[in-house]
Amino acid sequence: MRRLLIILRREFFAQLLSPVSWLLMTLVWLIYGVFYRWTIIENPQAYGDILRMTWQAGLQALWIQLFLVPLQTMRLISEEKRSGTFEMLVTTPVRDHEIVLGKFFGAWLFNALIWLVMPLYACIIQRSGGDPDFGPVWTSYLAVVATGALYISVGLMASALTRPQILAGFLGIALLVLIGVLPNFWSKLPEEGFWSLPRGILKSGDLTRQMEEAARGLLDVVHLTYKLAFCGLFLLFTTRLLEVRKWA
Amino acid sequence: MGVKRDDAGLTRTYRLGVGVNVLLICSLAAVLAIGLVIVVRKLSYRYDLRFDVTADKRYELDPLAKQLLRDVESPLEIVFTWGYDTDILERVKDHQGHPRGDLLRNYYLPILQEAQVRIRRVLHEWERVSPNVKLTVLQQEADPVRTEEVARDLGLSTQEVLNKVILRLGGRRREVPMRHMMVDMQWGYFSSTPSRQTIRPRNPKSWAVQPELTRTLRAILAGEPIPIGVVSGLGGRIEPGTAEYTIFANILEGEGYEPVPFDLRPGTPVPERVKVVLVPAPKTPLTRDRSKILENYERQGGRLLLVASPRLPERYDRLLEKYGVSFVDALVRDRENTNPIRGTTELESTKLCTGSHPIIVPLKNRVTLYLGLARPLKISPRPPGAIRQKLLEGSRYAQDVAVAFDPASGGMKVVQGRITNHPNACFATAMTRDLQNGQQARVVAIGSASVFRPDVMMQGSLYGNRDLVLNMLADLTGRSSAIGRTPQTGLRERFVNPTRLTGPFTVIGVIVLPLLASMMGLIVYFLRRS
Repeated sequence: MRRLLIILRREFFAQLLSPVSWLLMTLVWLIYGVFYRWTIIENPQAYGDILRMTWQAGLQALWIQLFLVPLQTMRLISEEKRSGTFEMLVTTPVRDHEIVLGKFFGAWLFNALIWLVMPLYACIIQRSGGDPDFGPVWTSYLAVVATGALYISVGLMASALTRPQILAGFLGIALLVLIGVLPNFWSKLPEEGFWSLPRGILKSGDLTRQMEEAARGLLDVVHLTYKLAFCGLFLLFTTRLLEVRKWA
Repeated sequence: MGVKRDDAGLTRTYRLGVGVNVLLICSLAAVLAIGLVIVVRKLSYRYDLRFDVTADKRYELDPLAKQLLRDVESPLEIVFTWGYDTDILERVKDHQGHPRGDLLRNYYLPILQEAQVRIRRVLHEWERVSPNVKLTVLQQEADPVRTEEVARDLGLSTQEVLNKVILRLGGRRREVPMRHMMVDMQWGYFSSTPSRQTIRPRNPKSWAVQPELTRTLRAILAGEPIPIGVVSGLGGRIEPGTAEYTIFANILEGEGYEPVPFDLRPGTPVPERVKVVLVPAPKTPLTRDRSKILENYERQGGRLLLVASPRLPERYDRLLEKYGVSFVDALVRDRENTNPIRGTTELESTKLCTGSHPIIVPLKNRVTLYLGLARPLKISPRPPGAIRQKLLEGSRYAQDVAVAFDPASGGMKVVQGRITNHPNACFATAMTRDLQNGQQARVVAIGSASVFRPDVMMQGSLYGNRDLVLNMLADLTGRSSAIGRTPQTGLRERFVNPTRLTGPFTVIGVIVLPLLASMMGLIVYFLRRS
């Protein structure tokens, strides 16, 4: 546990003291701020409807996560491999799962820090005379951060699979599109016959639907379980990948 | 023959073993993860695994239902049975006329399951609130004998009780079909022959479980219907005989009132049995004789709900002067309380409710009210014995646009150039006056006829007009426990004026925060370089 915390701290501060991370944060806050401004002010469909605003803002955050997370995670393991520090790390008395979990939690903390703008925006709206309900705001934040955990675990796996950072980034985006976007098309599959099972599986993985529920102020244990179970699964895959690579 | 080893001293079999081991562990983990999700999902059908974190607990029991349930003094029996009713069975018949079990299981059972979970959740909450609630929930397929017994006890057949919530209080009975709680549900049907079209059922777009149940509870607890006199023959918005009146009357009947249309004939008093008289914005001004009837009624401790419109000339001057208020010949323009999609004179906002009158407290900042064109009230010094409480008011930017009426046709036209500032213009007020006989007269005056528009009064509407009107009637009839707010099915519940947010949000959200992050990046960059 102590070794895990050391890696976590090292990873979190590495992100915090990297100009690239701050550049990412600037970009995310700028893009999300412009989207959010459009959602609350210029979108006539959401006019005066705080919950609809939260929902649309949550969906926008999910889309941004899709590109932010691979950029954030691509260097986590591949960079260490490229620079040769990975061999040093694995020869220390640290277990593989501690390396993976430490890196995961470090990246996740930074991701959660970036998305603190969601409640912050609600505070700005409140201070300006709006009346947002903070329950849906916090559940949206939780949904975005939980999705971030799932995405980071996938990104980490992509980073463990390849040595060049760019390749890890592209692989991460491709995998996340499969996980984050593909299930949204569940309704296009036929309801009967062979396709009924894949349809059901894709439906339960539809992150847009899950976001909608969260933005309405409903904290669903099923959705959280889905994200955390698959996050754990990808972390296990990453650990095993490191182990296999060690013997390869 | 020796075993081949690589540079690390490992055999091929050992490497293969590691690979198989990893593959097995990963497969097992994948199965476990999927299994965990499936188990939690199955559990969610039985137990509610969703937590409502909204400030007003909109997905939990609404305050109005709680308030009504606390007032239940005799046993309130609630029976909820669910299963495949005749209608569903008809939709899945094969060519021999038998219902197909696979279709029932695959298509209709999941929908019924979801509906019963939602309904049961609300009813169980009701049971917790009041010890007088006796709840029976039955699945017809699981317990056919008991279902039949319950149906017989209610004097109905099994099919008649299926997929319904039936409430029984003393000799009264009210029921809500499950279908009323499923908004825009496509029930579909399956053709018995492949050549004909099949439409698959789809889940409802939204649910109206709480509003429907609360409405029925409010109606059954109202006891004997309370007669509400509606003045007819004046050609107003809800003139008896019109389609709008029929809808309005249906709403009243559903809430435990009995609309009683009557004419203000000279020499004939207001019917004795009516508890409240509603005067729905007359098209032509009331004659002196007709006005006199209402004055006499009010003087005897009567209760009046007076509706005025800026399009129509009636101002109820003689009735309202005793309270020190009067309707102004104007319509209100208020840029803070309008939807920009509509004009600035069509009022629609959540900020209209004001004061602390019981009618308004449950609605304040909670519902969007649609008033359309509104007529302001002028508040003069208070006459002795009269109490006035504002119910609806405009913002500090409200203005009066003067209107004039053509004496011949009664038509309204805007007087050009006569616009005066009227900060916090009042559109509705509740008034009481002590009478010499020791009684109290009560009047509620509202300067908007659009408040009664059927599309904004209907159950499931995005507006809170229905609650406003029902609260006014409940207050006038003394049914204080029925005052409240039925939960809305739509998402739109809180209304803000987004134009006010533009400046602060743009400055802080779009400029300051990204700038701060980029500055931090620069600081980190230069620190690392140095």
